Amino acid sequence: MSLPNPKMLELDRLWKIYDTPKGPATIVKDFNLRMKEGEFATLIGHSGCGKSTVLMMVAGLSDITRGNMILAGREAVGPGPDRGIVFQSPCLLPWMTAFENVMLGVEQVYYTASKDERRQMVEYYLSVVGLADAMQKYPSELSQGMRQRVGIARAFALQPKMLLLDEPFGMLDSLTRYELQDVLLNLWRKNRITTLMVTHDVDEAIYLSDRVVMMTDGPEAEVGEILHIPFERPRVRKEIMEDPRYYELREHLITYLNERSHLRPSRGETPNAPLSLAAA
Amino acid sequence: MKFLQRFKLDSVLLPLAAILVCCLIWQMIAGKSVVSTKVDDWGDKVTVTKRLGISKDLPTPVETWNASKLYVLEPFAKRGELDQGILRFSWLSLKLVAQGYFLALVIGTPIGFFLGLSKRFTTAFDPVIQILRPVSPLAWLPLGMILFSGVQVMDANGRTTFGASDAAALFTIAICAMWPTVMNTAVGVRAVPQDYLNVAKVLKLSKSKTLWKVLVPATLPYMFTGFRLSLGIAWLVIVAVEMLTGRPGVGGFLWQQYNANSFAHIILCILAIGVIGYVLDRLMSVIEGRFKSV
Amino acid sequence: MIEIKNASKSYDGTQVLRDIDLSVKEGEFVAIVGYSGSGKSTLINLISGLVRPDSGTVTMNGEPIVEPGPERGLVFQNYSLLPWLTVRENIDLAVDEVFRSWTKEEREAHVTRHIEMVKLGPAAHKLPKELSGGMRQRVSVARTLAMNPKVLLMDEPLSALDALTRATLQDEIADIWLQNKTTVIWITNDPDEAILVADRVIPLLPTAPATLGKSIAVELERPRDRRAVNHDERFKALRAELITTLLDSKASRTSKVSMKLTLPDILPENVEDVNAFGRWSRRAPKRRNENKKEEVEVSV
Ligand SMILES: Nc1ncnc2c1ncn2[C@@H]1O[C@H](COP(=O)(O)OP(=O)(O)O)[C@@H](O)[C@H]1O
Ligand SMILES: Nc1ncnc2c1ncn2[C@@H]1O[C@H](COP(=O)(O)OP(=O)(O)O)[C@@H](O)[C@H]1O
Ligand SMILES: [Mg+2]
Ligand SMILES: [Mg+2]
Repeated sequence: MSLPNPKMLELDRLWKIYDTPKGPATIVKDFNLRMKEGEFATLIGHSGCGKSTVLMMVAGLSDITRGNMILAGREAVGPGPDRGIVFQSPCLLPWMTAFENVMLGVEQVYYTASKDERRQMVEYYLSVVGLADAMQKYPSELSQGMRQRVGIARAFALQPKMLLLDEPFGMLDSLTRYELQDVLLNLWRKNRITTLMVTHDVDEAIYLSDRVVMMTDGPEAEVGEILHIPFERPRVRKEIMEDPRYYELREHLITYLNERSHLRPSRGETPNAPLSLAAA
Repeated sequence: MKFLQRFKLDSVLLPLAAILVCCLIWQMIAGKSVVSTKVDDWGDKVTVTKRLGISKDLPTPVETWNASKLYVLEPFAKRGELDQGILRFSWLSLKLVAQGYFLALVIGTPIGFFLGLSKRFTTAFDPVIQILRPVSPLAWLPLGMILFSGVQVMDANGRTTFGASDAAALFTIAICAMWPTVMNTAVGVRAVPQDYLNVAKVLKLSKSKTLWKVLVPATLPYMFTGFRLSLGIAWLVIVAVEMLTGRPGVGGFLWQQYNANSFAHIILCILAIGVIGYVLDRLMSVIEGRFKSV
Repeated sequence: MIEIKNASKSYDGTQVLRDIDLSVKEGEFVAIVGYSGSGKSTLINLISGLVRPDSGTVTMNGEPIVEPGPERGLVFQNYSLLPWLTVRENIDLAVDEVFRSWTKEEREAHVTRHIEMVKLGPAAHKLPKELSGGMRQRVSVARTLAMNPKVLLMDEPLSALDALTRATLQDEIADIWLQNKTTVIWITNDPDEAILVADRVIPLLPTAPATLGKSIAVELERPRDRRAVNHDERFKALRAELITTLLDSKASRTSKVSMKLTLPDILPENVEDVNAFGRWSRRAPKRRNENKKEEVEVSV
């Protein structure tokens, strides 16, 4: 782990065509994206444009109709624990406690480690997300926000090569969402796993990520523009909210979503945001 | 608080009242014995017992009680093969039911899982199952007798402990009681949310781990619904089976008493069968509730 | 107009709200922001009269509030429309109840005016299940407004809607308010929403039990353009202040116990390459470097 891999994830002209009763529907067309190791990118776009579809293809839970995906130099086929996923609802198994839910994956991935070490692992991650006293609770006894914390702990505990987040905070109210964003950043600071996250929340995208990938409207969605977020890490919400660049970035994303998302990008390379602040 | 107390009281008093009403109706339908003395042609006094009423042969509740006292008050007595206390009979029946029921679950649950997991398996076997499912226990029993005619396990004294009729009874109970378990398990497996299966897929859990840690717990509530319905059927079947084979048990006793024209004992058997069936169902729903709440 | 003095409320022995002091002037638009579960609904129910305080007083124009009444219209998060009645019938029901003395024509005109106000003219004859969430909430708002309440109480009216619909409805409701200037108390969990719609924002601090924080006046001109505000220094400052107040108050509530936890320095195995035999063989786990364990302090 000396030098970060400049090509952790390469998506090369991904297509997704669903067979529908009305004939084949091209949802995603020629989707290109390259991510560095340790990068945090968000995918933003209107609802139904195909964000989840792209993420599910990367996760291996949905077949790639056409195109290539290369993860850490290897073609990845099918789902696996090397890609941690957090969905909008954390899909914990309701018959297991928070501890057991995380342990299920830990047992699988660290099968050579001793029992003690595995227990420590689970306890560590659940404590870091703030659930030290709720480890033995069942999902039904936890609030929505707490369940999502378990989901995040489970994903990080497996130390995947990539983390895929599909609107992980979409069902939470805005204040709980802010809290969880900090929980996520806190963990991510300790272990910079390459992360691709889907969101429709502009503030969330700016606060969390290094790059915001804007998708054009579906069908036949592709990458519209890419915006670099220049803020230093570790990020402090208060400082960012007072930074004048923050509102410019916010404005840029909102304008894109409201006015330009239906436009096709010119063929060739993906345009970067034409802003001075991208280089700042 | 007061409301709660009243509620509790009601839930005891109202059913009791209903039982009382039923007994009254029974009393009205049942025939009465009217005893009269009269002087016959020879001048002797004779007592004549005459039965009157809507159903002349149906004994009244009190008569039933008097005739059944022996069986109820000494529930575990054994006076002869077909003359035992009612609970002793019930115990014999329950033992057989337990064995047949166990067999039904052991066979039915895996079949349910296969049906739920594989579309092909379902397409292939669904018609067969639909044809076998409605067949009455009375039809299965003779087949069982033929199938297991050679079965005979004897103890040291040369007495048969497990014969063809026992095997046939088990077979009938198992094959009749199996279907709710099969169907409910299959439905349950199909209803496992894709999210849970995705968890298993992403973690690359092994087949057995997926089965025991994801599929089985997710299906458990459905399975228990099936188990409860199966138990009800098993208890229905046992009576028919015992009547046909004449094994000692509640059903066997009932049939024997019918042949002996002892109507009070038939009523006793019906009540015993009903009460035990009710208790079994309650027990199963308590267990079911425990599993569903998890 | 509405005055809460020193009110507190407990459920089953746990205090939910304490020392609530709030006074709302006539024609004012007040937003109360708080975490879910912190007691916002309890607070608005105190005002509506659905819940009585354990101590303290709740008054409207000097009279104590003891039960719900038509002068305080309540809009819920879940619309609460009758599913077997059309949009118009749902509103009719409320209007017929409140304005019994009116003639049929007067009532009809009144209902029509309110349906037009929330832009539901074409959908007036539809059943709630044929409407989207945003349209249902519009019906609910129209129904409440049609009763001509003196105060409009909104309990997270937009929380169940998606971001886009939420934004549209925020603007629409703010416009309607500009026209008739009823007093509004708006409960929400979204700080942005609060600043965009209200004259005054009060955070409900999630201390246990919860209490109201310092109220923040919003002096942005109406109508507010959510895009233009983005460049307004006052908006940015307000937003930062409100969000940090709420986040800090939550953070200070969670006790900071430092724990020493061990994070074993093991690396995940490649699950794809192992077979059943690989699992049986007991080789040592892969590790990152020499030192086996890493001690980390975590605040709970
Ligand atoms: N299994 C499927 N079959 C057909 N169409 C689908 C399927 N899954 C998703 N779609 C369509 O693909 C489009 C993109 O969906 P999705 O990726 O979930 O969007 P997003 O996550 O951006 O909201 C939608 O229009 C949806 O209707
Ligand atoms: N009727 C009730 N009985 C008992 N506890 C209640 C009742 N209503 C609310 N609570 C409790 O009071 C707290 C605040 O609830 P609520 O006012 O609904 O919060 P919010 O509307 O901010 O989500 C919660 O912890 C909730 O469990
Ligand atoms: Mg999606
Ligand atoms: Mg509420």
